[in-house]
Amino acid sequence: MSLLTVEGLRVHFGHGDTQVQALHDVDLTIEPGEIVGLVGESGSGKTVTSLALMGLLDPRSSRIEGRAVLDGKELWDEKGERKTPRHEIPMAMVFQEPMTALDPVFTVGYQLMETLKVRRGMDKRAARAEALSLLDAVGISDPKARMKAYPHELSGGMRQRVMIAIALACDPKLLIADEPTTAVDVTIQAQLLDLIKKLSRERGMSVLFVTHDLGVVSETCDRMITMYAGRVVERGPVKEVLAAPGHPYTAGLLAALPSPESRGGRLATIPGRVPPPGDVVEGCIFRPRCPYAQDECRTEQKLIALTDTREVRCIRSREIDFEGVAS
Amino acid sequence: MTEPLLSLENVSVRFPIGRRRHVTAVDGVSLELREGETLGLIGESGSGKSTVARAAMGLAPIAEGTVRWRGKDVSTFNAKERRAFSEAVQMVFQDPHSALDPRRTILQSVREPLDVMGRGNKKDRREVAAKALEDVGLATQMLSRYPHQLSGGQKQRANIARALVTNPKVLVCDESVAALDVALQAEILNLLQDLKAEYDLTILFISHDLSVVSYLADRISVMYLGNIVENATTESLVEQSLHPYSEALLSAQPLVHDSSEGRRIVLKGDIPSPVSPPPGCRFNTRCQFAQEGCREVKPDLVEVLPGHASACLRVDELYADRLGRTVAS
Amino acid sequence: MRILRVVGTCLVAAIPTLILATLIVFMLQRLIPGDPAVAIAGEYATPENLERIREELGLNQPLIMQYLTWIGNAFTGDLGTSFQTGESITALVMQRLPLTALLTLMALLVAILVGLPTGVIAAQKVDTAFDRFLTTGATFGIAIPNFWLGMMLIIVFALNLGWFPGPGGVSLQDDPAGALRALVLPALALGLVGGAEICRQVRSAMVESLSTDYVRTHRAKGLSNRSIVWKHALKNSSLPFATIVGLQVSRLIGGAVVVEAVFGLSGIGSLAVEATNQRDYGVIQAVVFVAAVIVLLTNLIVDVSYRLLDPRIR
Repeated sequence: MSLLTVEGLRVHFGHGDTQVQALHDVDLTIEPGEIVGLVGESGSGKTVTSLALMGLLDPRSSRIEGRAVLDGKELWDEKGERKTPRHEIPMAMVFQEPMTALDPVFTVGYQLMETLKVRRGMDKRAARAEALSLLDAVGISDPKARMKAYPHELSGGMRQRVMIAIALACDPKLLIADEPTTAVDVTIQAQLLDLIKKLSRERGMSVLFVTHDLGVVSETCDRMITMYAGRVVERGPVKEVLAAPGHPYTAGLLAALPSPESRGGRLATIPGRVPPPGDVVEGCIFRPRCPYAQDECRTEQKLIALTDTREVRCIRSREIDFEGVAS
Repeated sequence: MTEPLLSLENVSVRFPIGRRRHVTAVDGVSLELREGETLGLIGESGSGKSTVARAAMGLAPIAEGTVRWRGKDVSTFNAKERRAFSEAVQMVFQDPHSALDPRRTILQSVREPLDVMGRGNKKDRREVAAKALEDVGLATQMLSRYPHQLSGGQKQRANIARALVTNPKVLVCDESVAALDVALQAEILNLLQDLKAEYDLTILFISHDLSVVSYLADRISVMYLGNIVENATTESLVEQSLHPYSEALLSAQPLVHDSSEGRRIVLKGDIPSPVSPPPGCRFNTRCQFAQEGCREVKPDLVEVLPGHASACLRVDELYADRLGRTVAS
Repeated sequence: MRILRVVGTCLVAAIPTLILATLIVFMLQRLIPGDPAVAIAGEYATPENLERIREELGLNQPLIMQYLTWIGNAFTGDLGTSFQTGESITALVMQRLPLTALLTLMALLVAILVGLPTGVIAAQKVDTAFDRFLTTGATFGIAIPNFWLGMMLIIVFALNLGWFPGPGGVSLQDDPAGALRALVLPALALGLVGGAEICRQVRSAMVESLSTDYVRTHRAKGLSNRSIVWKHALKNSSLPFATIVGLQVSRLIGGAVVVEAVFGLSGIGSLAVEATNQRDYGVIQAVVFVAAVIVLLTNLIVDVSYRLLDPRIR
């Protein structure tokens, strides 16, 4: 059985006439122990998806529809209201910005122990011991001294490790990592990616890895899901998708990547912009930007199976190899 | 060899922090920007790469060393020369959103450098600005819009247009594509190459992203903690790096194809604070090859292959195969 | 240790402010027409008599010498003697000060008790009817002059309902319990305006805190809303809170002059009013000195609290 099953997830923002739909029937599954990459540019809906799953969208300005089951627990009811108390859902999240995601006026130890008390009902002594072992597990040297440190006294990489420790304190079966390495340097990114992979392996923890960086996906994830304008447009095993993308958008993202090999030549671009939520596009949502668009693309596109493990929302996928893929 | 357009000779930049303490952001850096080339400057946060850019433009306090423009020390410039220099070297900043005045139209913002210099009459200035905006691919109807009405990519185009109106020789791009999505980044990188040809530009391109730098640059300088540790043509650097830090940086870059698994060197720890850099080689605290001597002697940047310089005490023995030498035992 | 050094630095920094404030008052009073020697000896005093009085009081010395003598004595606790009564001003101030201090403290308590919870609650209900009701109320509250509020309170709660004693006849020394009761209405009159200001400040600080990334992290961790609001967001809003409370102290001391007059309380405020009417320079100076010391001490406490509340400030 899948750890996470999401069916027909829709998110609307705003009310009445100004309401816009940010997510369109997003389906996804995550197996135990699997690392799944959620890929797309800004405006693709990848962050909205993760915030919706975490229950972090403001209920005053957003509305959730669809069904999500994690570890046998329904996350919300038909009205989109929280069904299971948050601390009973084995899910945690690491955010992009390590500078601002930690509370500046409480010590690292306090923030960790507080989580352990709420999530695992530990008393102070047990929480302290567990906090120390978590800091050790995320590779922080001298955990005892770091417990007393305030976030501003730590480097960006260290703060992100603390964020991961706090997430682990929730004892998650699913970790949502939203661009966790975008704000850190590449040598620190390498450390953090190794750490996340190691923790996933050791704990059998699944990870939903939200990123715009296909290189990171390639090195970290088992499967990937490409999102565009609030819809899933492609999904499948990372190696297969990157070797031969089945959707022109995934192909476009790949071709736009610069590398030493492509020096001197022009980079492929994707003309136009992601349509903002609320814009009406006839047929395939990617059609206005797609170099392969034809008349048949003027009908609504469904996800179709390419192989047992791959799906793509493009009617022309079987007939063409999408070009411009850097190899 | 022809004279470099812009050069830094042993330049150090210090900033005061608190009482009688200072941080050496740039420590004895030498760089040559040759006419028509694109020089990439790569480094992580805290490496001092942005300060080098500011020093090159005369915007940072230079404690030691000399910045030369066409061979002449810029600190000896008179007012006229100084103005010509500042027109000839223009900068494109990282954040396209905050670099434009929200209360001015795009045309006004782009025209501003000309207004400040009082060049020509208003009509001429408008024409120059409109031409620059056309060259960066912004449609005429964009001229009267305000920044909030533009997308991130359009704003960055407007920033580039603003840098172009003085008809500069050198464009300094400080993380100019870091805030953009990959498709937009590709557009701007293409644009920079087109403009380089059209305006005969020389580009100093500063970035933390090795894939972007190695795509765009002819030569690359790698910075670590205020020092340049390696200097080479892009090909030579990517294929046969001669410094452990550059190697780690190259291997840490996540690649889409041929996974880095196995070949990856994961550096331990963070960049030390530039306030109290380690003695000896600045990289010794994170270098897997560091020895006793590396903690005592600070290596000079030495040309070990033609056009390829490295600042590593152990370069001869670590990279004997790449240097085609035998190690003297 | 760090705190001690901070206190030391702030104290040293406060001294010039104190000197400047007292110097200005000292000089201004001398510029006002009227001669204290005449006021003491009467209009028909002989020139010799006047000269003798001036000599006794040091009024014939250069102004700057007069000031230096006075400030030197002030720092050792001797505020001089009253021209009018010949009493020790220090004794006079010490007799009146406790009532004003108590009034100000009670008013501050009112301001905080009203402002803090309403501000926090309004911040959680941004843009709801409740929030708009509170913020509009707070705007009115700030606009109401406290003497008018004082009179309304007297009419309703003292004269009509009879819950509290009316104006006048309060002695802290003789009847502490009765004095406390009599100070309730003045404290309300003085503190409610401050409460409105604290409410607005706390609301905007809390709105900002509640929209930060770390609050989102706390929610993701599963902390209860109560803990997020009352512990984390509130502690992060404590800097603007400390600032506004510090500001309120000086406002309250100023407002005490008016409120004491309305309620017929013989505190330090009414002492200042009496002294001005009688051109009793020494007393006015002493009151300014004491008020300045209190305000500067408050600033010191606020500065120190910044460093205790926010670890990022060194």
